[in-house]
Amino acid sequence: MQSRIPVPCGRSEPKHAMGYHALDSLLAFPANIPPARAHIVITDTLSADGNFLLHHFLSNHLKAGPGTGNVVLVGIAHIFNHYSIVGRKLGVNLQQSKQSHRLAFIDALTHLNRAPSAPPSPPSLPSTPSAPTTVLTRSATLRPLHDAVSAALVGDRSLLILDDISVLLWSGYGVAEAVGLIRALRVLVQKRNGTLITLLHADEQLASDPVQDAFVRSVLGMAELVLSVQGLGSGFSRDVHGQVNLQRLRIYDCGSADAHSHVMCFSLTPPHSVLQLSIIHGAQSTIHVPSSTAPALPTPQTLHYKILDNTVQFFARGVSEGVL
Amino acid sequence: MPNTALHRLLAARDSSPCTLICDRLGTSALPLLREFAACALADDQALVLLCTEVDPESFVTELKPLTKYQRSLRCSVTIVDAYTNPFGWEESTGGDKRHYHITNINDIRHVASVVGELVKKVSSQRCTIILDSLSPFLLISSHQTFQLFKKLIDLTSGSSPSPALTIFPHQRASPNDTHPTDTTRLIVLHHTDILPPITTPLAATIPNILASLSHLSSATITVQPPRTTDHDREAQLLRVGFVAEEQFAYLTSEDHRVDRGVVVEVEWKRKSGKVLYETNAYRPDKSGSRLEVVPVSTLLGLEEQIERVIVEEPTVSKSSSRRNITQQPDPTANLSFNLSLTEEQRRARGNVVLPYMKAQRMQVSNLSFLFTFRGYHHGTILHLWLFAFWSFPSDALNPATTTASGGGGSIYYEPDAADDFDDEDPDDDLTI
Repeated sequence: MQSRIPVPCGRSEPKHAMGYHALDSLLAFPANIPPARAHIVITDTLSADGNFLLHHFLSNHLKAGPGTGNVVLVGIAHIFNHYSIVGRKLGVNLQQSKQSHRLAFIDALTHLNRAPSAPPSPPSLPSTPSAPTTVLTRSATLRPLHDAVSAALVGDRSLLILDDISVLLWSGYGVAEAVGLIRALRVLVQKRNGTLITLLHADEQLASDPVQDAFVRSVLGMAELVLSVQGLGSGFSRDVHGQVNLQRLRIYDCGSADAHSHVMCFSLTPPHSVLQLSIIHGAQSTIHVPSSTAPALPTPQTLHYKILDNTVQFFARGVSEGVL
Repeated sequence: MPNTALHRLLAARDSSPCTLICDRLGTSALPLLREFAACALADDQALVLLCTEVDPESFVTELKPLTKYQRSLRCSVTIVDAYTNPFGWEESTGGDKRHYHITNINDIRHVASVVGELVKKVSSQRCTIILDSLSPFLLISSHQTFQLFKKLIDLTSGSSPSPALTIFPHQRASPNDTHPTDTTRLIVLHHTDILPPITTPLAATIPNILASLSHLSSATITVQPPRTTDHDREAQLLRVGFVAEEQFAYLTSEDHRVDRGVVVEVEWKRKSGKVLYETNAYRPDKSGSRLEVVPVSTLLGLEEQIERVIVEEPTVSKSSSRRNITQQPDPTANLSFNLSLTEEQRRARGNVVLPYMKAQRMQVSNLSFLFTFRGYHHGTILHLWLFAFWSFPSDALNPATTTASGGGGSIYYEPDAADDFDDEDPDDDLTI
């Protein structure tokens, strides 16, 4: 699935460019690290990509002080090279972080679906985090992924990023298994006072499918904080020159999973469009009584934003320079 | 507000063996569940927590500052932990021996039997079972979840467990249970918008799970966000004739605003058979840790509107002091015609002679002995009158001089010239 990544056009980046400063001031996390024992769910749609948020949290955590644990990045939708290239443009060297064990990358994509031509390699748990690992190989359960993550998490206040969990559902795993995995990973991270960040797709078109709908609602019910990006209801603010292809994808048998056919849509968001970000408190945040131990969450609000070359610009609804 | 249905359910003042709390994405009922737990502990009840979506340790930790009793919290709370390690992927690390850890959530029958055994151990005191969300079980199997729910209800109020699954009957408390409130009660949280996916053709034929659960529950609480009237939206609609369509989103920044309060609709099936419907509301109290039950109007800001109306009314004059000054508008005001009466008109109205009044006042001396029979239906007066026709002098049967009874609902019959009284049995010629 293609996505639009903010890339600078041939200019030298400042040495310590990390994350998006505007987003840092908006979220107002202490030390720019997400709160401990929190589950942050990022939802995006075809018209608005949520990857920029992932890269923001990733680069913030990598540059954080020694008081934080490592970052475990589980790539279910992209391979390591993708993150490496994007990170380089944003001023973060992921290869170096991986070698210094600050970052652990788990490749859950490469052998996710059975490819008849290539012989599947046997599943191997990572011995060293520097090599790309394959954990989901024609596996009926998601346990190997859970075990790999459990082995990779090191230290207190670590960060686990899942990108993205909708692919698990599209690959044929059942709703109960996929939701069970997210719940198990959440427990794993909470034990280590870490933070879990998951990305999933919450399009309106997918809401009509009961399986997708149940999955999205179940995961959203587990969140402390939800960051929801979507396009404007009125459409794109520039001339639309994207192309949308609808493709029916037949899912191969993945062991016990049923063969569902899903619609996967490809889209290109026009550059520099005004999009909408909503900061929402999740259901799990309501259980906490106001106290010092409750996670400090940003104020719920809805804003418009525009992704420029390597910055993101936020403004209140309806006051972007194209409108005023 | 102590007399509302919600308050009585929270305080367990009246019997409700099974309370089902229904919520949706956007309005979570977890604070209400926490409040039920806090009230149960404050009432010195044992608590059995079956957790599937909330970390039980943090749930109990949140309860600590809410309870003021001296005994240790740990003694009266038993945890069945189906959250931490539901698939058995983690190695069980010791932990508290009193708490039971579920390591295979797919075996729902085993979960039910575990809860049953734990409840039996605390049978000496009053007990509240709280189940934090059926959704993880529903995603595994609908019918097994229903059986789990049924078995948990069987544990409530000392009712005997049914040997086999029965779908229809609502299990009432056993006659031996004379305690005004329940010995054991069940509180279950259910997310109504997370529907179990239909995987087999047979699954499409089973009844809707919410209908099945609420049929078995004695009380159903549905939480909703407080709906405030959008004045701007209405004003825009009046001005330009259209409003912008709401964009689809699972959640908006207006959701999960605990400080704004929550409206609940309570459906309570009482033991007497009566069903009580009430709309209440709750919001966090001043400390933010407990909930207070408030009237719905407070939450929706209607109280402020009413206050505004009172302030804007002109000062009350003496002539209108007799009129009832309430929030209801006076229907006789602002009319082009006069609906009130003068004194003379009132007197004249009092002197109007109504028809049949004279006949009502006539004495019943000739026919009074017939009406000493008890259980007398007024419809038989006609037959008695006919009997009287043959038994009494004709002048006594003059309709203008006779009367049927001294009470209301009398029948006054005046025979026409064409009436013919025939005492022959019209069915004589039947040969049945």
